[in-house]
Amino acid sequence: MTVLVDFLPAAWRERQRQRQRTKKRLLMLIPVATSLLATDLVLRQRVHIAQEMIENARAHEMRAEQAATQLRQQASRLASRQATIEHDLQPLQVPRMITLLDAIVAGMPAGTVLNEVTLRHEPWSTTARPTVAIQASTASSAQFERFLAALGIESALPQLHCTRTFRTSSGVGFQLDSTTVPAGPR
Amino acid sequence: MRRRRSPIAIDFGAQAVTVLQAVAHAGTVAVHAAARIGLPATTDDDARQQAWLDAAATALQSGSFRGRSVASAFDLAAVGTRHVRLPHDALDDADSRIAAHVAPPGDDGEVAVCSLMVADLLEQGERKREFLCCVTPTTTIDRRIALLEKLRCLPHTIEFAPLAMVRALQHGGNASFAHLDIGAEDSRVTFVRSGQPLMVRRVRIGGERCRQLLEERLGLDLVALQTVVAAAPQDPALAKAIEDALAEPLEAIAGRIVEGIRYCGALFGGRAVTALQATGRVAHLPGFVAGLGHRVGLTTELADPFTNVDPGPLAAASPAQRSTYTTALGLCLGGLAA
Repeated sequence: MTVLVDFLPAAWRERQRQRQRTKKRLLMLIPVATSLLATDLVLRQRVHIAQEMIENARAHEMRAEQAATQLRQQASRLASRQATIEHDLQPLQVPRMITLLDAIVAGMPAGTVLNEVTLRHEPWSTTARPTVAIQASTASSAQFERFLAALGIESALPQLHCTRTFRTSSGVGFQLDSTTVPAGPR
Repeated sequence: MRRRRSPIAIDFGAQAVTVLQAVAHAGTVAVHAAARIGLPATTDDDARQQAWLDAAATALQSGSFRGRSVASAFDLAAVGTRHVRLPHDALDDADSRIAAHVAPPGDDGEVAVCSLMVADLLEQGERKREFLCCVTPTTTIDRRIALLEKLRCLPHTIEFAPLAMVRALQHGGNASFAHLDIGAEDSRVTFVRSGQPLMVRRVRIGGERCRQLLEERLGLDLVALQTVVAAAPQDPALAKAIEDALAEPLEAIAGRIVEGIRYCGALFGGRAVTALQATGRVAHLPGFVAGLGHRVGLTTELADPFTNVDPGPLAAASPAQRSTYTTALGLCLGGLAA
């Protein structure tokens, strides 16, 4: 038999239990608060990283915009230069004189005598076509017409018009001129 | 089986602070740690509180005590006992009636009352129940709690020392006996019937008075007497000389015990107790127990509280030294039984 006389007041025991409960809650609060602080720290770091990424992205965006502007300016400048170059190269598109001579000779009937062929093109002229003047004679008028038709179908040659025909001892003489009026030098 | 550790038992005595902790394992109880620190002599209450605090702190540091839970006890000097009889038809509100008996209205001091049922009896044709009421001022309890909290301990129980002592002497049985504990300034007698405490009496004669008488009549101080006793423990002449020297306190103590035996006998209509057990340093002097038994007329023996307990670090201590741990051991056993 265990007879127990205990003078410890019930109110004190209750206070003690309350203290223990409070202590227990406080002890439980420590890991919760620690985890909250740790989470807060991690989230702050993530936010910091995200903010840095946003700043970097903004800097990249600005650089990209600047590059795009520069690119547009360069493209514009390039187009301008290209136009200038094309414009400047246009005189160089003129067919070569030997090509013109080949075209004249190719359609020439037998018995045709070239007295004078003048091929003229002003350097750096904006007009691509040179001026052509031909003085020649054929044995007959039919040959003359055939020659004129052959010259007409040659794409390398400007359009030629007969400015004068006359009788020669051996046949028909004539003078052909291109209709293109030569432009003056630039 | 798991080892169960008792709360640390601290016995704040008049001459020393005794600290003990026991462990229970596989049905046996063993002392885990023990310490006893002497106190400087003082009569001032505040100085005694401070001395208790210092000694208890030293004792707690000296042993391998574990935990903060502490069982303590009030001595009979701090607790008054009253016997209250209530009619059986008034038992429903026994607590309030007992409180009214022990602390009548108009009494300023607030008191705490713990009551134990003693016996059912017939008084003048009315059936009544007698209670043993232990009364102490709440200020005393508050001071003890404050003292324990200063030691950074958690009070587990604050018991009544004589009842804790008889717990240590019952050895788990339900014996009927009277227990005499001889302290420094006074002695306590507790009457137990079938394991149930019936009465606690205080005798204002203690070990100090016995020491004075021995010095006066034998011309030996305590150290010299112990040396003589150690040299011839069974000497009948020495036992007779001591008994004669202590005749006056033995008569006083025996008279108080006989009064108690008569009271308990009247309660139960016969002999309520059949033996007397004694503890305390003085009780271990040759001739003391024999002289007391002769005067009381009961089988009287020295009690060993460690009969069924492994004394552990106290194995080397003398029986007289071990008997000073009776209260602390009773507190430990109470803590283990709770």
